Amino acid sequence: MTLKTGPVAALAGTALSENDPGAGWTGPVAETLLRGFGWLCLAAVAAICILPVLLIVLGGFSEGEPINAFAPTLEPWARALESKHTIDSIVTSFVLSLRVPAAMLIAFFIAWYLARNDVFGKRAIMFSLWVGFFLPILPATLGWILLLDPNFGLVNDWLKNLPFVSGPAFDIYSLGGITWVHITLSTIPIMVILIEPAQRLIDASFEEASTMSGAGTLTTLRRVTVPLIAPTLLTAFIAGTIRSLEAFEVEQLLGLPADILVYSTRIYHLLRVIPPDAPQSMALSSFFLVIMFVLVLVYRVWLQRASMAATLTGRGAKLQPRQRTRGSYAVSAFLFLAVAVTIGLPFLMVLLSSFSRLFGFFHLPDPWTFGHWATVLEGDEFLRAVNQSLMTGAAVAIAGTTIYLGLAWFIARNAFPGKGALSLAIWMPWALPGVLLGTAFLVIFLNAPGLTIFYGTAVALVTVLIVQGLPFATHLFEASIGQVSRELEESSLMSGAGRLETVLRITAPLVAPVVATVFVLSFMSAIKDISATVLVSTPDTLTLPLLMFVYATSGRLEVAAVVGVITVLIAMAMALLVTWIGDRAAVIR
Amino acid sequence: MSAGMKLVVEDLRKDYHRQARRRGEDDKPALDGVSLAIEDGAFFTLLGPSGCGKTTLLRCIAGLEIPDGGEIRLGDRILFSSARGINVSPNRRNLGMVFQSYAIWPHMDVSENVAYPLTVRGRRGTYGRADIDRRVAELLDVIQIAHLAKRKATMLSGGQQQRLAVARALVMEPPVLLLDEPLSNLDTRLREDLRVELTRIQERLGVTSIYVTHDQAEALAMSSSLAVMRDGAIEQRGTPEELYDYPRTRFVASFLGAANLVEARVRSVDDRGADLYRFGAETVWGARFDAVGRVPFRPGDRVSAALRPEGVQVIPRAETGTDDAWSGAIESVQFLGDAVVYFVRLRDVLLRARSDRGGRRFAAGDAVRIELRSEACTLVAD
Repeated sequence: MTLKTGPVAALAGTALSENDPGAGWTGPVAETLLRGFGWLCLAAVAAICILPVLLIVLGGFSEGEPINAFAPTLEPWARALESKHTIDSIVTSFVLSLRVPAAMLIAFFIAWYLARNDVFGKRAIMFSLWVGFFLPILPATLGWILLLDPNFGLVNDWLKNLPFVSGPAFDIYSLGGITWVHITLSTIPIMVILIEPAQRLIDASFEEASTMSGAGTLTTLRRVTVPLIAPTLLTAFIAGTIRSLEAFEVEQLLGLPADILVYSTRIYHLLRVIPPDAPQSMALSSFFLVIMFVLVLVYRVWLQRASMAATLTGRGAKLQPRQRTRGSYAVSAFLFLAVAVTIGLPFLMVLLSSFSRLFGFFHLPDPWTFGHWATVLEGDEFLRAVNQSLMTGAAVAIAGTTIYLGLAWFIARNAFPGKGALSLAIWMPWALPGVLLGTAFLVIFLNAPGLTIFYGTAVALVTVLIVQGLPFATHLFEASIGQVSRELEESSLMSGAGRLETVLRITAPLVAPVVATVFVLSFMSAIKDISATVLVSTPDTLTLPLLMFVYATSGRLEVAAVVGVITVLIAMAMALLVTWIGDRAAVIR
Repeated sequence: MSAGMKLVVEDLRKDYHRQARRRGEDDKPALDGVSLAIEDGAFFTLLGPSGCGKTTLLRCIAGLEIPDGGEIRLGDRILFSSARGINVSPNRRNLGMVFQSYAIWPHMDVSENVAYPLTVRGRRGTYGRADIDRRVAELLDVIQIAHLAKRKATMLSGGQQQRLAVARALVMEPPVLLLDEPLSNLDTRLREDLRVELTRIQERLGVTSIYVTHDQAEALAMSSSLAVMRDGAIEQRGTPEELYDYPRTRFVASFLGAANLVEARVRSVDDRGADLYRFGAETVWGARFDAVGRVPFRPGDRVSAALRPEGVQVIPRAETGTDDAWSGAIESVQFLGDAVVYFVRLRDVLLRARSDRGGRRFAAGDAVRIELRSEACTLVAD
């Protein structure tokens, strides 16, 4: 039901019906209150999404921090444009973002094959991809360092034994190394995870009609399948590109030794040099903000035009997966191998090195020890971090899921002026790399009157993580609520349930798989995130990933590996949960 | 069900384009001052083509749409009144509703779906667990899906889903049951079965029902009273027979029973009282005939004559030997199984004539003559 505004609706809201015996919370007055509350929440969300962006843009034009000491100048921009480091970092960022289309091509074929064929071990493969996506990238990077470090990398050592190889064959500290780690551990897994269900939802008759028209497999793919899932592909492309531009940890860990700076690490360095140059970092960010804003805008315009295609899907019989053939077993063997190498191997290395005396030196006479595990498990720091992570994770998951669902429901079920603008504002936190979102909130928590008491508390962490997760989760909810027929909610109203009861008993259970996924994803952000929280946290509020980051950057790599293994275990449990939820959802449908 | 729960709608208005900046030519209001009263226990049907406002009216009664103006009362309880600033929210109106898509909740089984209205917060504590189980079981029995009680709602056929939707709407014993084209998603055979079934349940429980449909056969077969809607207003209301026999307008005549509409002129009027007139009339090409009607036309008025296909009799021309204004030729023949429909060309018009299979058969091209049975023809306004 849409909320109508105007004189009559306003009138209906001014008087209580004397004929209505139970006019209580759901009466006309409550209706008006509820609507007012909804608007208030919207305004708050819009503010919280736009404020950091505004701060960053203003900060780029000011030498002082933008809240209390705004001093207009173009200097930061001049410094940014004159700095070779800054210019280089921009170029490098763009070069690195080229991995997105490449990974997409690979992911598309994997997803297509998985969706259209009965592949042996498909569930295991999908589960591994979820694991890859959930894995904190820092331990994975450590794993690849162990394998591909030019000095002590195991693969390089082994390859040196070959006759025609002299010197290290691979160097992880390079653009290629950074790309490899990203592409195997996040870009390809997440793309397959996104594309495979979309692929499966497309009515088989579209492809069959093309086949009957005489088109071969490739022609059908190019002219029917790809155009039909184009919206999903585009979403994946835009999201992937934005993510790649703001990626931080891998670039920091692998880029630093090779003097490779990208946009996000350059910003981090500008904030960490002495004296820090926050204004220049903000100017640099504004430049990227514009690019991302344009990307998102193009995406939305295009999506609106393509919405016709979306309504075509989901009718008629679904495709029976093609029977297993020798070829499909070969493909499945290849996929298992790929997963083992790209996801399993680095984590095996992390596991081994957590038991090694010295990181990367497995050929010492007595290389193994439980010492690092003991150090970690007995230390206060670790327990505090576990505690902090679980508490933060739970808070983000519960508060975040509630806020995202409420917001998405309000947007999906109501027509109001400025809806488009709000929807756009919700994307904004995504356009800010985590480091910068953290910076913006740091500025707010340090300077905004009334908010300074939150500085250094878990509230700051939770807020940053909720805002960071908001764009993706809200749009995910919005899309799935859009698929729930309005009549399902209306029949609950007619049964006598109020609006809140309807959302809780009808809407939420119907989008339960999405609720659960968002819940888990939100929880994982506290187990995974470094970039957004690294600046907002204090030694008292370190989460697991931050603890690992501190260990890793201070040279205690073995201890970092221990924390990494524990985080990986948590991630695997979460991946198990998500695939289990997905299976159950499939049964319901 | 409580007696005397008359549903009254007064001057109800709803305009979706009211706030639109630019108003197009076709942007008519969805409801343009609708008034009606529905007696307790009636099976009342709102009939009309798509876009006539019937569903909007139903949703306004349900409370799912907020009218721009007017009043809705149930018994002495005001559900909506723009003048008094009253708008009871849909969950407080205590009305049952069956949706076009049935809106069966896929995450509940059959009995959970039916029990839901008894377990909502507003009624919590009113019914005990045993009471709820008993009511659900009883109702499933009446609706004849008791054997499916524990089945997942998604595993039901279309007809079963429809029955379930009816059961859910009735479980809280609402004074009024609203049905929004509930049979339109079913195939023909099932639709006819459920028509009978719905009438049986309605009669047995005596619940006042408001039924929205665009299917005239459904409307005629099921209703105790019906209203034909057009462009957001009620064109005519009455019993099915009244509307079928004495349509007042061309629109109603064409919507009910596929009448032939022929332009004509009134020659004589005979007032029979009780709003019934007998007319002498002739078509534009001079064919004379007798007709009845509810509209007090005067001699000389230009009107439309609605000729019911079953009142149009086809006879061979040779039998009379004359070649007058009612003479023509068969243009095409449609075999319907229990009847035959002839399309007969008379000058510029094509008349549809329906005969039983037993009568004499004609083929396309046969020269024939038309005879009108008495009371087969009604004069209507444009």
